[in-house]
Amino acid sequence: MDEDLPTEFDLVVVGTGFVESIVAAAASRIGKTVLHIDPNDFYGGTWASFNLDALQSFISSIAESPATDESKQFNSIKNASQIWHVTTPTATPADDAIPEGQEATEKIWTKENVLKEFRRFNVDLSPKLLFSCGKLVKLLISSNICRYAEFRAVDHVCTIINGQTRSVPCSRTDVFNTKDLSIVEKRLLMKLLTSCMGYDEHPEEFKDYEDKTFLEYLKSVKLTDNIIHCVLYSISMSNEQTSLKDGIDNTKKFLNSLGRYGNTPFLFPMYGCGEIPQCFCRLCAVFGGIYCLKRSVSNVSIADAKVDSIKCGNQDIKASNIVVGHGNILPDFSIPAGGTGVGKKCGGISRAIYITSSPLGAEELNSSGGGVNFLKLTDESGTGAFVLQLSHYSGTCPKGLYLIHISCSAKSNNPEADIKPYLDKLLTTDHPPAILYSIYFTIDACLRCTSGASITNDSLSNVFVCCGPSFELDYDESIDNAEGIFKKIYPEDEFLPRAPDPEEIVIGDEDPVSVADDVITLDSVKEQIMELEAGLLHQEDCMEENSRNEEMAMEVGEE
Amino acid sequence: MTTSTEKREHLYKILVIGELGAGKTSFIKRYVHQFFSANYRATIGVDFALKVLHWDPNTIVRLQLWDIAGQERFGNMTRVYYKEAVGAFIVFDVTRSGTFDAVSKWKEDLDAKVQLPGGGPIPCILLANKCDQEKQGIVTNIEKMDEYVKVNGFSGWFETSAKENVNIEESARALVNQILLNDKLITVADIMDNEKFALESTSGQQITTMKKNCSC
Ligand SMILES: Cc1cc2nc3c(=O)[nH]c(=O)nc-3n(C[C@H](O)[C@H](O)[C@H](O)COP(=O)(O)OP(=O)(O)OC[C@H]3O[C@@H](n4cnc5c(N)ncnc54)[C@H](O)[C@@H]3O)c2cc1C
Ligand SMILES: Nc1nc2c(ncn2[C@@H]2O[C@H](COP(=O)(O)OP(=O)(O)OP(=O)(O)O)[C@@H](O)[C@H]2O)c(=O)[nH]1
Ligand SMILES: [Mg+2]
Repeated sequence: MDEDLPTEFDLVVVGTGFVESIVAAAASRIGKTVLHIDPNDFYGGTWASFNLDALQSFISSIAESPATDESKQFNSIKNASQIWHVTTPTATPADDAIPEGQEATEKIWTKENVLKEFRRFNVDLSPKLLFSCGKLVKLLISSNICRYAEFRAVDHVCTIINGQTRSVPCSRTDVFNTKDLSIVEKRLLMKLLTSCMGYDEHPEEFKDYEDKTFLEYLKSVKLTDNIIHCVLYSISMSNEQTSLKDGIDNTKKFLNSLGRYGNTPFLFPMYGCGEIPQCFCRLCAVFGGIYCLKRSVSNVSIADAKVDSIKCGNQDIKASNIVVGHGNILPDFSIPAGGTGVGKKCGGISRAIYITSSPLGAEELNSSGGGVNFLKLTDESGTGAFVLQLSHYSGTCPKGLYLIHISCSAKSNNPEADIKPYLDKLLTTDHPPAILYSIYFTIDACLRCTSGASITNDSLSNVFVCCGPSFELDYDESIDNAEGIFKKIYPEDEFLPRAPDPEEIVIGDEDPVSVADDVITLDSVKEQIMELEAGLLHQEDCMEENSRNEEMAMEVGEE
Repeated sequence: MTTSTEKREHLYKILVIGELGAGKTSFIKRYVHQFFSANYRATIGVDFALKVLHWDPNTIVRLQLWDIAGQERFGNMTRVYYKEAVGAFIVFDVTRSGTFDAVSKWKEDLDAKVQLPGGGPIPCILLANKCDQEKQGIVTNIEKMDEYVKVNGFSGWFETSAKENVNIEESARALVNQILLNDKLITVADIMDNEKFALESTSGQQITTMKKNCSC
């Protein structure tokens, strides 16, 4: 396992996070020689997932090293803290924030009990959801990297109304079946969603609201508060200030991803989002990329405003281009400025992770142990928070326990304080989760995004810095970031063309059949992607038709 | 897995690991494509090779043989590589005892990263490859090898030659036997495992709901 590395590469990538791994895979895919290293002994950097044991040591290692320590390898996560709310092997929760008398859990969870199951955890530093028709799903399919990943359809999109956690009706069936809406409300909702889908064809319907907010528009079409709440906060994930155009675009994005899998527009990667960068790494390796963890760059030699070679271990390695990931820095290295997109910055995320022994919300939201539930919380001014609740069906925690992830834009250096208003909202619902263990930390922006424009002059023309996770639900900005870097280095080349299927080299007398699986693989999407374009139109037709049918049905019911 | 009353089909993922140049790719090529090439070439662009076996009149076995692609060879396999594997070959080169020294490291890594659903290690067969050439080290002593294999939890070992086609079929057959044996145990365990059943039924239901939605 300890042979020397080759000494010359087209591309050296430092860090195995999401963006870096995509660039590495894309370069390798077009035949470039790639060395992909990571100073850590795990894949994924700021995008990694850990089992509970590894997570605890990771958080302690960050909490213990002083924030000013320049030599620190992992500098993209800070302000880390962790605390157990159960300590002794007794049934009583130690924390008074936990209301008593929750549904009786058969198992009494002590710290020891939870730790015994450490290997069943896959806890994400940067959890995300994928829109079923979003950028990442499309990229995974078009590049054929989808064969490495499995997903679970998100079970419920939730919202909190008057202290109650409720499922937001997403599909037409949901709208039809929900008891939370009156028949009149159902009709209004269907009508609204249909007109949002038809925004491009019938802009005149919205003419009077072009410069207004989405909320003003929603109010104008005489919706009830219940529906406005669901559409504004959960479906379009907007707030009071969101413009009509953005609100409608968000709503369309949500609706377009509906009906692909399950009841909601979202997918969660089985065994955690930390699997995703590794899928790209595997593709890179399959096309010849060389991987080495626990290796860092100890020195660089510069010639003509370019890095000419790097020192890695005791070897000098020549590299035509270098890509540096979030949380990694090169010695003697100045950072070209500029962020992901216009005015946007990566990182700046306050994070909380809770292990709980009961889920958020009532039984109907968590039937047979619960699946994956998503909740968007708003605050008055800001961008709100993403809340993700994972049960053992997601492959990220043991049976009987739940992971609750909260992410919001960082307002301070105190992630716990940033998260508190949102946590309070969860804890004051009719069915609050019982928290056993909590972690807080801040995900920093990458050096490029923090440094500003002042140091562009010294930038090295063949060094590219990747952004860390952005405050977004899906991976759109990160994919743009990766594709942007790839295009700068290889402007003439195709970005992740489809990789051939191994089945294409079958020896034997029969065609391979795909294995039926209860977990969704994106392979099954491939057939559906054909319907994808047609699907949208189809869906509109259906929505119209169905709302008509359902109206009729309702009217029949009313009589 | 597709199971019908009269015919059974199995799809198994098998890992082929070992040091640089031990003959992993040659082993797979010989077994799957029935040829051998003396030219050393890194394996590019292929995840696995598929071999279809008509095991018995009622059983078809499809083997996915996952090469380590030579690239993850510095010891850092991604989880994608290990995921859902049910068996493994660890290959070393009998002419270079250094490749044997690394065998236990590979075995430890394997056992740490992948287990059977029940928690036990996946069956693994040790291949002493290039036996058409002069041997070096422990492999010259059959008793010691037997002992080593037992102590280190291998299901067995074979002297193989990808070049001369020695023991290739035999070693594969031995591994598949082990896997089928485990599979029977697992299937029985599955039936008693409510948790797994629940998972299948919920998502199965989801898929039907989805289809219902689509065919409106
Ligand atoms: C990261 C991860 C990925 C998994 N991927 C799959 C999958 O694709 N399909 C599936 O049916 N089951 C998968 N499983 C479930 C696993 O195979 C077992 O069914 C389950 O974990 C049984 O637990 P155990 O006590 O035997 O091993 P555990 O104690 O759960 O596992 C021990 C450690 O081994 C590693 N590991 C175990 N199994 C796998 C695996 N199959 N692939 C990769 N790493 C593994 C993990 O790092 C884990 O932390 C995965 C589990 C994990 C942790
Ligand atoms: N004499 C002899 N040579 C063999 C045998 N098997 C493989 N070789 C030779 O050993 C060299 C390496 O074989 P590969 O199959 O490429 O080894 P590998 O383990 O796939 O190597 P990497 O992918 O680089 O890790 C080649 O030159 C093969 O021709 C064998 O059984 N006998
Ligand atoms: Mg090879």
